[in-house]
Amino acid sequence: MNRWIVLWQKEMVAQWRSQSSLPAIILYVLSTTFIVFAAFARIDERTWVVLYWIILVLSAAQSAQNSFRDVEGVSGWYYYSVCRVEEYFFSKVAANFILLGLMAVLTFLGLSLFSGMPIRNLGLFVGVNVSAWLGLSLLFSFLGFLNAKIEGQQGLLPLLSFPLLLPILLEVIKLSSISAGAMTDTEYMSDLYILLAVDALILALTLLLIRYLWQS
Amino acid sequence: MGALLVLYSLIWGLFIPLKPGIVSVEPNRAQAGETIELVYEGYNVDYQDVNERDISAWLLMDSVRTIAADRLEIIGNRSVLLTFSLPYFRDADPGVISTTLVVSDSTHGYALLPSAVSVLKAVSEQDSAKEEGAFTPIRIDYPNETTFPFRNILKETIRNTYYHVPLWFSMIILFLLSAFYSAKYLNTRVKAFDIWARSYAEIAIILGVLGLVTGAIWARFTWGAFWSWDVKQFTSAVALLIYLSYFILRSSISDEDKRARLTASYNIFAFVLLIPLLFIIPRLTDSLHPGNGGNPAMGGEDLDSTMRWVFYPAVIGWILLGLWMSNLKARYLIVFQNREEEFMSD
Repeated sequence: MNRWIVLWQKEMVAQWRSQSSLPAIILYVLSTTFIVFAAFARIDERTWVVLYWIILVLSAAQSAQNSFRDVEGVSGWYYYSVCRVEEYFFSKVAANFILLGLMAVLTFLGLSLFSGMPIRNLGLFVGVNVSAWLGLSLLFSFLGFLNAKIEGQQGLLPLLSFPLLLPILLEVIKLSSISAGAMTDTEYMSDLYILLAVDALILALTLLLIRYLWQS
Repeated sequence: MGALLVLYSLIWGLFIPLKPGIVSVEPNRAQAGETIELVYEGYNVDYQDVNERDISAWLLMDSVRTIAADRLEIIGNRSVLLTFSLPYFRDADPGVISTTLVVSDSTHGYALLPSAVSVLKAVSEQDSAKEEGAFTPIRIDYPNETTFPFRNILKETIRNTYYHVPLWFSMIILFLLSAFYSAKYLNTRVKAFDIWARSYAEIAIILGVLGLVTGAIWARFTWGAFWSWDVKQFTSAVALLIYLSYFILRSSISDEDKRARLTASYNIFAFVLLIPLLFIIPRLTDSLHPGNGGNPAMGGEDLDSTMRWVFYPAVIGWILLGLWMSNLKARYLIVFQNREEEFMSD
């Protein structure tokens, strides 16, 4: 258990210190929200929600890709000898989760500043966000891991991940629209359960498949 | 074997005619107690040589109250003018009753249109005992040959069920097998399994594209456009994209073992995620596609026995065809690879 925490802390610190990832994320998020503001005169709730998620998803893909840069090469061998793959992987997942949360807050603030905040049901929105972050960080970490193992094209990750994140994305947009009042649906709990179920599915899958990616 | 079954389903699927049907009924509103004249236009019926006495028509208010037509007049090749005298409603009846029109004749068989005429309530001022005598039980004729059922909006496109649905069934089965062989590969590291997984995925993609195309053609005739961003259409396209990215992943890794390993895990990942995508999400949202969002699909009412004769063989046929094609491809690849290895080691 201690190893997990140590690894996770190390991840967080590495992200904080790394020159490229954290500032890059902040820059990315703020600039996209500003572009949104500049391009649209007024956006309705549904557009707001969709833009929020698109920005979040794209930044998440980028940051996950960056976080796996120490898989290959010397550092890769080091980690391989020191810790189990689950520890390595899930520490990254946890770090990505926190990062996603940070990005989400930033995007939310940015969009609210520039284009207003249409969310009525904040509790539902937060709940949806947290489950989405879990699923997204798992998914992107898995794919980032896969991507890092391929020494070739680095642009593959968004390409690969887009179809796979559609179940999450569709559900999440629907639920967020409900929380923003763009759609009325009183029975949204079943959608929430579906989101959690998909998260659980992805979690189970990554647990099973991780060790196959690790060996090389 | 599979090819024969597919051929059988193709020919029979296209050539067996539909049952007679009712395309339209005009006017479709009436008041209880009055005598109405309806013009009904039929489908797949030809009244040129039919005697007026052979045709019978009824309006059904419920299972007991069936009103026979007083008079029938053939006014066109497919149109008949019917005269009905509607009885008054009972006090307990609802405000509007949707009546079903049933038309039957010995040459063509019977046809029915549910909710053909909406009858508004009116209660007789006088003694209502005399209305009871106006009901005649239905007697319908059955067609002499095999025909497919007629559904008002679908009409001829019901034949699509033979092509579109079996293609998707086989695609799912092939994807399942592909994922299964990927798992086997990860367990045993036998190269052949990786090749099997890849062949299954290839053929499954081809079948999937065919399924999407047949679905789009059907959509053109029933929904009005080839691609209407319906949820199921969309998620099926996404499923195909996922497997296409499987192949992209394959082509981007040059080391064979690594490639097999990584793509095998991607395959399993993708397949398991595919299940909620294809099946669960469309059922939740309002999809136009039959089987989701309240539309009829494979239930007992919608799959007629006549259709079963062609449908089940079609399903089996396409599955076998898919299996056969993947089988061939896999074996070819394995032989090719063995030959290459022999060549290298010499």
